[in-house]
Amino acid sequence: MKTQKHITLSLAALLLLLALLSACNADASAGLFRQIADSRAPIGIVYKQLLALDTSGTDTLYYRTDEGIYKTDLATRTQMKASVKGSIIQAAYYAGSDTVLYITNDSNEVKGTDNLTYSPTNAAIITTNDRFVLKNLYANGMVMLKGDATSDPAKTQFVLTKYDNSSSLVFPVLDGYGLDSVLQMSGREPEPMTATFPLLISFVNLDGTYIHYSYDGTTLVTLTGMSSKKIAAFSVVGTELYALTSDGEVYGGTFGLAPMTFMYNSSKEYDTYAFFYSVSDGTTTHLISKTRNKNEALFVFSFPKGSTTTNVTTTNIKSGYAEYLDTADIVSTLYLGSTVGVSDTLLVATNDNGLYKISINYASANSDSTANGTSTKSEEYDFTVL
Amino acid sequence: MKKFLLLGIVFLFFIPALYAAPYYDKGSQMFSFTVGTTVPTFTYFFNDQELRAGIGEDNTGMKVGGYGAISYQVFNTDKTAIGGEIGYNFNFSAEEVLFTAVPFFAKYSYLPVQGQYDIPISFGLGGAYLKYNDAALMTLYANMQVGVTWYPGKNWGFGLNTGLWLIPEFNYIDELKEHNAIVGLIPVTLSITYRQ
Repeated sequence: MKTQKHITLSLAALLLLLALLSACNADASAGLFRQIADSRAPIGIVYKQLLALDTSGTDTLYYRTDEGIYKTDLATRTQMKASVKGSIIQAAYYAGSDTVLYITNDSNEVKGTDNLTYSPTNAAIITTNDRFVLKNLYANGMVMLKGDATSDPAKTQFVLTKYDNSSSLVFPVLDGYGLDSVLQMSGREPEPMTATFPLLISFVNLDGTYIHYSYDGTTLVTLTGMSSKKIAAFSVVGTELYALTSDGEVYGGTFGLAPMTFMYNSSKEYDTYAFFYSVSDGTTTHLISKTRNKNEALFVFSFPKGSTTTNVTTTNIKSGYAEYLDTADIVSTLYLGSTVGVSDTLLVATNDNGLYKISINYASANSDSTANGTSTKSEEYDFTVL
Repeated sequence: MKKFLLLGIVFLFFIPALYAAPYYDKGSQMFSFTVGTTVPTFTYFFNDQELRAGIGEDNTGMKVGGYGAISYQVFNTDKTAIGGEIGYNFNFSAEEVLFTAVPFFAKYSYLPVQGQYDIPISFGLGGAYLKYNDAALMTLYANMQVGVTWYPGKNWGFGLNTGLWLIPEFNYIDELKEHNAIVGLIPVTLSITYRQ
């Protein structure tokens, strides 16, 4: 009798302990079994960057994967340049005429698939010593150079220049600051810099203080009100600039002016270069985002068009255009075109789940239903604008 | 006709064994090594009332996996034994990411047939440590198993077992509550048992 009582008590204690321990899933981005149930088989292509759709002849898509630079006309997929050990392709730009320019980790030159090379330089920067670095090549053909300032070799100078030196932007000498990011609008990366498709450039110091600039190809504007915030992505809608921070806050302001004001805190986490795409139906603007969490639904911020105040509503989207993207890592997007006043069509590349074509309906972009748009299945894309 | 014949043979074998003198005594012991596979059967999400059945993508998301365990039981009567088991289970997801579970549980077995052939019907209740991607948790674990073990000699036996595992996931964090679920797996295992 006594033994039985001990067994019962021991079992009860064990179950109580287990029930208490059942709350341990604190660091998970989603439920454990949900993550497994929503997992998708890798397709074997690890996309890195969508470069451009060349429509001058047979429609041809140029893109970069972890294996190199490719092009496809849907019928044939061709590797234009392989990424090899010791000389890994880091970034690329489609220069037209079937030529892709790229940079590798072992060189300060921009190389082309046509075997030409370019050596971007600028008088403001010392490019002859070993501290000169070509930091990055962007999808619009600009490169970021870093080196000692010619005016004061003890300080670091950054210069944004076209790969062929045809235009350049010399940043102020920012003592103690390093480059944080050069952001372009999701889907619009190949576009030349204008007020519609500007760049957002951020520098940060060791204290975590940021200096954010917007640049439309002509004017460099220092943004204010966000110096403690890391910007993950941005979008320009009409005359308004909207910035999404890495900790999930949205700020708004008039493009070309300095002040940025707080609009909303989603408490979500975003990687730098996060997917952040805007559509507007004339009365409402929707900012569609993908968080750092691969298994999290697309998250839409909605507010009256032109607003930069706090009247923001949000929605989780898993249906329609998000049917497959809610469980994928979006790495790059490319705008294909619009049906005027109705929808935008995009190609969306993911890390290991393939390439999708989606259409987003302006009027219902924040509706979690099939009314918000469509998505092809993985790798079943084409170039037709819906 | 064949089915009836088979059933008849089973009864001929089974019924006498039920009334045979017990092979085990109170205090008899069994120590087993088990290896085999686990077949993902279903995942049920409570919040969405969504049932995903079957293997792989768009179903449970899990592939057929593997399981290994050791167990020890002691007879508290001549037909029932109590003890415990600890094991290691793995399955790859459709995404080819490893899911692991370490179940450890108290085990109660009833052996209506025993002797040269044992037919243990077992129930297990305990916990399991689960790990997948960035998620890890300790959770409850329950199983029911049935098997047959053949003893060609006095001590060593070879068994074939199957059953059903149930593993719930209860998250207490608000953002994860909607993902609360229960998973069922069917193990198919071979075992080597030493008894005395």
